[in-house]
Amino acid sequence: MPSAYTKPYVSRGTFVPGEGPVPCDLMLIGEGPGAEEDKYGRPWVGKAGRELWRYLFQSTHRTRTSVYATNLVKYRVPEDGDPTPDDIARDAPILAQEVQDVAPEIIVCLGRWSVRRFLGDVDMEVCHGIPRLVGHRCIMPIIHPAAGLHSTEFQGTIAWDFEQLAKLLRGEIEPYGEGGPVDERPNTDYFEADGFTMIADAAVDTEGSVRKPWCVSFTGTPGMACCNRIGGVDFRHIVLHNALHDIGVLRATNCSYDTFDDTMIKAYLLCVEPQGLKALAKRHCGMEMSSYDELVAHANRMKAHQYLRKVLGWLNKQSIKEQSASSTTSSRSRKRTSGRGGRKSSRMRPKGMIKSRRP
Amino acid sequence: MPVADLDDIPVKDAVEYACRDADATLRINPILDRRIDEMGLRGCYEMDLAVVPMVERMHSVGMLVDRRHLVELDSYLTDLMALEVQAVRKIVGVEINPNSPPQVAALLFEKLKLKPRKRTPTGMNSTQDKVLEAMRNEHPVVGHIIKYREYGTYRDDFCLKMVRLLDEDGRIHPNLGLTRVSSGRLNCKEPNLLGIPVREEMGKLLRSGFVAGPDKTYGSWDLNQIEMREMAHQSRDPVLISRFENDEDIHAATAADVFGKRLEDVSATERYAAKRIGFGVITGITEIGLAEQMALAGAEGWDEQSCGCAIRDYFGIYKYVLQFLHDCRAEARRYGYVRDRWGRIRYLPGVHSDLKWIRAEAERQSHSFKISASAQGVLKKSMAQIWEWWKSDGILGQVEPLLQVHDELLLEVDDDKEFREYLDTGMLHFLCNTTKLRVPIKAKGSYGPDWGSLKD
Repeated sequence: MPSAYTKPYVSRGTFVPGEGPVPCDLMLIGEGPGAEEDKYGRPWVGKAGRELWRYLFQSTHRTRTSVYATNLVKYRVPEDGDPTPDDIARDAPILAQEVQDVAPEIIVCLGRWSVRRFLGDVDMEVCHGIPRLVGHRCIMPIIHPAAGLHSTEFQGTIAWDFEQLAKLLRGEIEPYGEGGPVDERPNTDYFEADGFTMIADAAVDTEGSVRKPWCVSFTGTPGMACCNRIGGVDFRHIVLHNALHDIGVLRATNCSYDTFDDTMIKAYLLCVEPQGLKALAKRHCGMEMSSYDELVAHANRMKAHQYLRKVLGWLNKQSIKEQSASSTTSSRSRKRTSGRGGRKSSRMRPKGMIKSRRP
Repeated sequence: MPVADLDDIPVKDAVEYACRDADATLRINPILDRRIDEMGLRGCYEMDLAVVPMVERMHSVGMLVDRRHLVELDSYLTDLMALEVQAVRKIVGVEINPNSPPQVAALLFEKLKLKPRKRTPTGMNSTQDKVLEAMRNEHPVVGHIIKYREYGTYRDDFCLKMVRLLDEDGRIHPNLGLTRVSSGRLNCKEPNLLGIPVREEMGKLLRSGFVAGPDKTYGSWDLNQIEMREMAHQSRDPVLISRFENDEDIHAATAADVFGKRLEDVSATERYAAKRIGFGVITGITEIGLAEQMALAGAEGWDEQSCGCAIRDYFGIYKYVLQFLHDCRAEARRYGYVRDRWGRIRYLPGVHSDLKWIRAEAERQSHSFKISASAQGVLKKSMAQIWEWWKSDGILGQVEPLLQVHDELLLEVDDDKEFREYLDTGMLHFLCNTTKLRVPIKAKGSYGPDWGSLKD
């Protein structure tokens, strides 16, 4: 069905409006038109579109005539790059009007730009295939079908996302709140204690490396965990995430165990889950976790500053030594030596330092 | 530049961070556990879990490297590359950098007027390795450019890179992973030891840089034609099964049938063609693919038509294999995924795509995955048993696992004749008898002072 939305004053390629029945319970929002869409002035008619309609039909038995399909931006982005904030802002009023008129119960956001328009700065790895309620509308984030054209590995995940959409339409799953799954234990009790020597069943993580282990942390109760710096703990059954790393550190800290599980292998075998612990925990338990890089970022900066100060101090000393050595030689040789040394040291020393030493 | 670690931040923050990871693992475990059971992946999970201790040991033991050998090989490769550049100059009269696509494109398509095959996204004529490989016979200079690039890859990806990765103990501890390849194969990073070419002479030379420690020797055991045996098992093809049972030379016997000759009259090229088809059907070989492979092997007269005939004749002999391929595709179309014999899943929604190349790739994956993942499972089951045997016999230390390369297990072993014989017997027992197929599983082992000296 042709759209009633008119072309605004900006002109860059073909204006590609949304199309479909108005109102409609299901609205699909992609990122922007591609070459084919630009050519025909209709959304989702290219290769990615053909894939989209196939996924949709196979999971929900809905066709393009029974859904409203549109895009975040209405013009093709040059070289099919990411839409800029200006592109998105330019077409935001049109999209808002479309949403208001179509009044969908479920909005399927295809691709990260479309998802971020409704859910804020989220990671697709974390949120795909998990419906959320924003206001009175359900937002379903789905990986963009074009990703499956670039890497066939994504096809399974996209199909799974559409399967979740079908379950949502059938009422088999309920959407989460706007923020996604909620952390059920926001008040945690994490502490350092070295008194434990025997633990039955626990989830265990290690920090550091085999050469330089830092700690073994473990817990048997959600929201509570203990960090052990001296090791020597005997476990019966442990759950690890990436056992290939942890086993070595456990050995280095004289910890033993009878049997173990590995959540990373479980995520890998499921094929549609992220393998990182942080993404998994955020996706399913709503747990916010900082990354290692974030944790040591400040310390890294401090170390870098210290190191640079040390190097600059050393270079300063070297240049003083060179100058004092050159002043004791004969005037002819001094002239020659200082010429060479001067050039050499000016290469090594930052310009600012040389200037500060000049009268 | 020094890098900060947990010692450089307040202890409270580090404790909070460490504990949070354990807490997250505890909370995520039951969610994943439930889904593993729902998807029927429990058996597969236990199989993967059982090889973790051996793979972790491979990383911690590492592979001893002859540093001098690698440094010498590096300069040898640099010399070879210079010779290739000289050879190009001698033929065409100009010196080019074979790694520079614009220079190579200008030489091949403007100066020598060769026919371009493909364009890059920026509109240039492509000089990718694949494109050059297809043009190899069109001009002698193409071969030299390919060789230069090959030597460059060996030099830059392996030689000095491996020297830089050496640990204080003189060993490389490769980062092995179990969760990257969909078929369940291992992956290896820093360096990618699984990426060293097996058959080529330069790959062999490179592998010679990995040596056994004092009073140790290298040992290698590999499963013989395990993917073909899996194919026989899963397809239940009576001809293929009887040939494996009678321990015949499968490829020669196939060639005799395909080309209507007596076994003793089959030429090496015909046997090679039958071998390529035999392995190729697993990955869905086409007549174009076979013709390219035969051209690469230097066989003349193998155009697409004759290759197509050979493939059709192959399926005429192994009818059940053809049926098996159809069944795999049907399974993918019905469920949207296929499973290997151990339950591992590969989602293939592309089988329903109306884009031909997506559909063809998914169909090809449907049987390729079933065979290669099942074959990998055979080795993983054996690895778990072998690990238990080493532990219960107390011989861990006398024998150390080093690497699992596709269907081969590489070990470092005490250089003691009696122990070697004992180990050989045990290894062959566990590799051949842990899993039962409709055809016998065969394995063979070999010993040598370094990786390169082991028999292929």
